[in-house]
Amino acid sequence: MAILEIKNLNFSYDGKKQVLSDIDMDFKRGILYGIYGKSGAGKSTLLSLLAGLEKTNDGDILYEGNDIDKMSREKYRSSTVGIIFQSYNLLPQYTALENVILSMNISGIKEKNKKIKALELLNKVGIDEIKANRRVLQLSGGEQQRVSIARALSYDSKIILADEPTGNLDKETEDEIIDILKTLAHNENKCVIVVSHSLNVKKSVDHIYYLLNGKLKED
Amino acid sequence: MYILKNAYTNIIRAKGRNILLGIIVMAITIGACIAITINKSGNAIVSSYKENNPLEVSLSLDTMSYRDATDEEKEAFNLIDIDTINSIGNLDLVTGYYYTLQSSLNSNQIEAVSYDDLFAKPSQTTESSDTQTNTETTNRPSGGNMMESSGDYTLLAYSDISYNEDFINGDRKILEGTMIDKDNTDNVIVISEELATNNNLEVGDSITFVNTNDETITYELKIVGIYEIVNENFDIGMGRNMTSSSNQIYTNITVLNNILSDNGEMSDYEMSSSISSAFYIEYEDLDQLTEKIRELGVSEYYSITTNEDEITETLSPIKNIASFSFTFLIIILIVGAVVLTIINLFNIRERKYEIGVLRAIGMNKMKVTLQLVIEIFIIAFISLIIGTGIGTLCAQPVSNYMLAQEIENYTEEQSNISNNFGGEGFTRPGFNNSSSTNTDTTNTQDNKIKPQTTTTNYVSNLEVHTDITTILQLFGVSLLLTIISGTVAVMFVNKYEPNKILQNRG
Repeated sequence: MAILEIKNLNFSYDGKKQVLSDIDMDFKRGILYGIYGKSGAGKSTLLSLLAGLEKTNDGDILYEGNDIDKMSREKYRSSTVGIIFQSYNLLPQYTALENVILSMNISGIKEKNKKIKALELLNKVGIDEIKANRRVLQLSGGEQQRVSIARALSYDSKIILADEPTGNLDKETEDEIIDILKTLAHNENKCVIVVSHSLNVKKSVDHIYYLLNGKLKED
Repeated sequence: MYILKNAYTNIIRAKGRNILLGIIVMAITIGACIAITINKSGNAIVSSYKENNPLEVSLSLDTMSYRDATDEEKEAFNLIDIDTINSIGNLDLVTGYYYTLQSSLNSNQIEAVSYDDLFAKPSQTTESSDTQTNTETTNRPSGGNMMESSGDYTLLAYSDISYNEDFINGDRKILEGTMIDKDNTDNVIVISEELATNNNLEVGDSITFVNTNDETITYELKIVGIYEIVNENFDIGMGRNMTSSSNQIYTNITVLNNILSDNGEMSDYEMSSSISSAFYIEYEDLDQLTEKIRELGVSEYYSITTNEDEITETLSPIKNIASFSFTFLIIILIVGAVVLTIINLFNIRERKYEIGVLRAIGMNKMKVTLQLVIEIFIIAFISLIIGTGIGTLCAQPVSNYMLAQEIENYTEEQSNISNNFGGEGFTRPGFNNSSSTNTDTTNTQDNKIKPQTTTTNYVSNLEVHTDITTILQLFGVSLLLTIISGTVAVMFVNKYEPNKILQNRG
């Protein structure tokens, strides 16, 4: 059963130029999806719509059968989808640990010891306790992206949306991040949707889709 | 709860930014604290001064008009007598009153202190003289017997001695014996230290005085007290023995009534001239008292004067400072609000990215706003405490400095006025009509611009206190400013969607 469904989605920023046209698509749990396309094809726009960062113009996006436009978008973002950004978007004044805990606090999850859980998550993505207590600007790009992944996992979201997650990383780090994403999809039964240009990512995903002229096509 | 914790973390980890904001809030608080404290204390002093110094109302006869009046017109005059004064004094709105009687006497038994003794010590004595005219030696409500023959000694009686300002001010002080209380009707007197020393007089001794109009009439008066002249009241240009303070003798109303009745056929005018009076009322009751005085038949030839100008002048430095501090407070609040809003706006714009991230990961607008406002609130609160402390400490020296400047300005202004008249000692006519606890004036008798010595003792000490109400007002105003400016700034940034903020950064 699809956890996320796109129904006849059309989108335009200015009402004139159509960025996305007639998109119908289902996303299931346990699968790593890859969305490809040229720059400006609308990949990030599609991901923003799935993340509830943009409102749809026409058509619906359903989470477990419910229209996300009718849900609280803040609630949707804070507890349903985990978002991983290309530029990490961590809060620089906080440590890695604090960034993860902040996300848990915003989601409102009931967790007795949020610090322990946050440390576990950070360890899972390869951040040890010493690095976890450093401010994020003291970490490398790869480490920051791991923190970003840990943050996306902190409230046990069923969907992970990643926008160019390896765009700023070297090959070795990219592989490690891809492994984490694969593990999340295959071992933790999450629906992972990755927007990328990377061929390395392309090789690793379970399903590949292309965005061309606003249309989404399966490879 | 996590919002509070985040706010605290943000404050600690962005010291530079928050210290800058804190310094601005603190500067506003210090200014506002000083202004509020000085304003409140100044107003409190003005109120307290007025409560403790009720308005003094005096009645003065226009002597020039009286002299020029026809007999018929004089007949129409209703000259003030003691009964009229008592009627006025017993009005409900009069909180206190007194009158004085005075007359001059001679004595063959003792020698008067020479007028020259005021300037040349040790004191010399002179023979009695009855060729001089009478005048008041202190600044009391207008009056003074101009018609009777003059002697070397001025006998003065107060209906209520507690109004004797020479003793209230400390210009006179009892050295030996006692002052005559108001119920005393015996033939008793209180004389000056100089007069006692020059004539080897002591408390308990008696002096025989001679009526200036009829030398066959004598009065034996017993000394019950000797007073010291701490500050001399000089009467410029008179140079007569009876004008010397040392020859001023206090007695009671009964004795003076007897002397005045022995002075022969005194006209109503002569009798009236021996009486001076003053009435004390609340400031707002002046119009009502004026109406009542006229209803009691006091002629329009009597002008009703008050010491309000003098009180106003005495309080003017304080009032000016209170007024200035209020204006200063308003300016501080306006400028502070503008500066704070601008600073907060820049501050929040700088944190636009942070707001975008928080919104992107699901924090709602309300919580984002709350967190940022709490941060500003905490910074403002700490700055307020420090600022209020510093402001309280600074308020006293600042007020002292401002008061000193005000008094200096006024003194200079008064000096300039005197110089414009061509010499020291000239002041405006309206400023010399009565005495009060803060002035030391000596007048001659006509109503023209006249030579005199005037020293206005302005209220020169402004005790400022920052009370709890002031602190609460300060906190209320400053926090309101801070929160409003912070909220305006946050609302400005919150209008952006998180995706746009993050895309712009990208």
